[in-house]
Amino acid sequence: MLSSAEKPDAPGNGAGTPGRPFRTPFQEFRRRFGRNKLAVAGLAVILVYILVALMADVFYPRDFITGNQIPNAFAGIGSRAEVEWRDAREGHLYILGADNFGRDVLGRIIHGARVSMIIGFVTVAFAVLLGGSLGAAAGYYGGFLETLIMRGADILLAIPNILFALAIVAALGPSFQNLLLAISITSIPVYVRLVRASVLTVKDQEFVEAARAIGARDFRIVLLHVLPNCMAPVIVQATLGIAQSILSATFLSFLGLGIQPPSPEWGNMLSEARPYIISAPHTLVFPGLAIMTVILAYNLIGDGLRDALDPKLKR
Amino acid sequence: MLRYIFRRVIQLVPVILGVTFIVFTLTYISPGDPARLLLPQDASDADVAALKNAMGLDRPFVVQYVHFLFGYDGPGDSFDYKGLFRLDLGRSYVSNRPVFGTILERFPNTALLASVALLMAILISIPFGIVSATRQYTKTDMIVTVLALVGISVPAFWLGMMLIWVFSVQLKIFPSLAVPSNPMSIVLPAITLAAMSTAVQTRMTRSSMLEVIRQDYIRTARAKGLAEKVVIRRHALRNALIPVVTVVGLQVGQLMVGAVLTETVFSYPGIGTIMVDAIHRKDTPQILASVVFMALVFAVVNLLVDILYAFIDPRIKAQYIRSSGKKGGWLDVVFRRKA
Repeated sequence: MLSSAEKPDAPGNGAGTPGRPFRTPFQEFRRRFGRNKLAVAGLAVILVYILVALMADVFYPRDFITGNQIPNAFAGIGSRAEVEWRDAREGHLYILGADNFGRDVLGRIIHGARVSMIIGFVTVAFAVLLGGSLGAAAGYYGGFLETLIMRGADILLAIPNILFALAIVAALGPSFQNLLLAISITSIPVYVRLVRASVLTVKDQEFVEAARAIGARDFRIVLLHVLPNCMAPVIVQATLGIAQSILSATFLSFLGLGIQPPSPEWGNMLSEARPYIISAPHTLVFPGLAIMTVILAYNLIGDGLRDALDPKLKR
Repeated sequence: MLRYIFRRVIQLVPVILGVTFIVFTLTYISPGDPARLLLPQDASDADVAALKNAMGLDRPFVVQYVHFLFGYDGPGDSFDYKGLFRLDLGRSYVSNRPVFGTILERFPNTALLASVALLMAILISIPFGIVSATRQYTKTDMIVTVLALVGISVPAFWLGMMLIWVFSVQLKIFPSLAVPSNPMSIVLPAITLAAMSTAVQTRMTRSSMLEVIRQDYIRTARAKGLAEKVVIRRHALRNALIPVVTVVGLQVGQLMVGAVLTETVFSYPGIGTIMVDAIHRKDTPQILASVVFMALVFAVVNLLVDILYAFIDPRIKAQYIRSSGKKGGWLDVVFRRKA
């Protein structure tokens, strides 16, 4: 039995190749993305991280995660110990052990996931919105505005990303807001160039001209007709950009310029655990593994999206 | 060729001005008053104002920026400096040594580490990329691809600490502290630094090679009866390496930045450690100088790579010369990039 999407006589299939099932662009995309097992695995990993980050407080209440349990310092993996918490003593299982203050490593990783996910999404959303608008304006209007925007982007691109973010946070002082700002700003120029290049290829096509002939305003044309046709490379870049943002944030936190202890964040966990490399390597291994799996997952999704959205590879 | 090189050098000017302007603006708007930091806690407001005047910090923004570029000659002699263009941005607030003196003294160490890492990355990535591409979908290809994926995902500073744990703490083969005079101690930081570049270049070589292998002229070469080795080496590799060279060039800049983290992990005396120390001590002149210096090195290296690129691929140069006569304002002419 055929599902409705595969029926040869499905509506809208009048011009389709006979014998080939009709698929909407989204179905086609889903099929191609689904065929890439690694990308699907990456997506699953990210969904798990997001779920865990959302429910962090359910698993490990925050004041427990930041509070010290000195007697349990460096408790081993899977060890049981008494913790003093909210004026009561209770047994606690340290699944991944405890750090130098006796805080639960797994709990801190889970809370760190929350921070990293927020940083990844917020910075990329900001960079895509601002960079995309600038790029669209540059590509659509051209002329002096384009020169101005693109040269600005070139100069920003001339400074290595992380170095630039480091300079911004060093100048403004370490805080969550400044971290977000620094990483967002340094991510902007990529999207400016990307969107401008796509807009240039789209803006002279007939359907844009048709929209203009009907009397649509520039804003409407760009928003409803041009930009939707420019989204594919932006989506791919944004996925890889999230990985880059998370990595930059952990770098900066590791150097003491990002999220400040005792707030749990993967980078500052590593920096706090660094002196105990001989006595307690487990406090060092797991936060790093957490970073690596998240970055790997985003990279896999990015690769998968690129293959699924790239019309050149369509067969 | 000379015209091309000249044009590329001219393009550097606005980039340098832009970079210095951004970095300077950042320090200008940064909260905290260096004059107050330098004086004892109980200093009066008048004292602070006097010191600010001596340091030139009470001048308008533009004036200070001009000082930053061309030098500053204040009322006293202690805060004078000759400006960025003569590589003098004054003295460190902490050590009272000229900031560029410290940087130039340590730069060879960073350059050494980065060169070893780059060499390592090239020697590993290109053969692996080729093997992976010529045996697509085999087990070798899968292993290389997965390793490369892990390589681009692993944070360098964590990799460095893991290497220390395995090779210094457990196996005691390499020392955990790195110094330029001891070649053994550079092995771990070089691996740490090279990991990301190796992975990126392997992926690039593989995909570029895969694209080239499908070209008609490769089929022609095979049809002529050439040995597969010759086809790969003479016909495929030469064309496949062009995009790889660009990526290698970009990697040089990334290596400089990666050095900041690697040096911190291994306490290696390079520019990275200078910068991180300066940031922790709020040593503004030293931070400024390090960031600007690294950005300049990045820009100059990219320039050299672009020129090298034109030597490797004559098409690039031709494109450049053909397009130079077209319309466009001076900004476009100065900035025009290769298509």
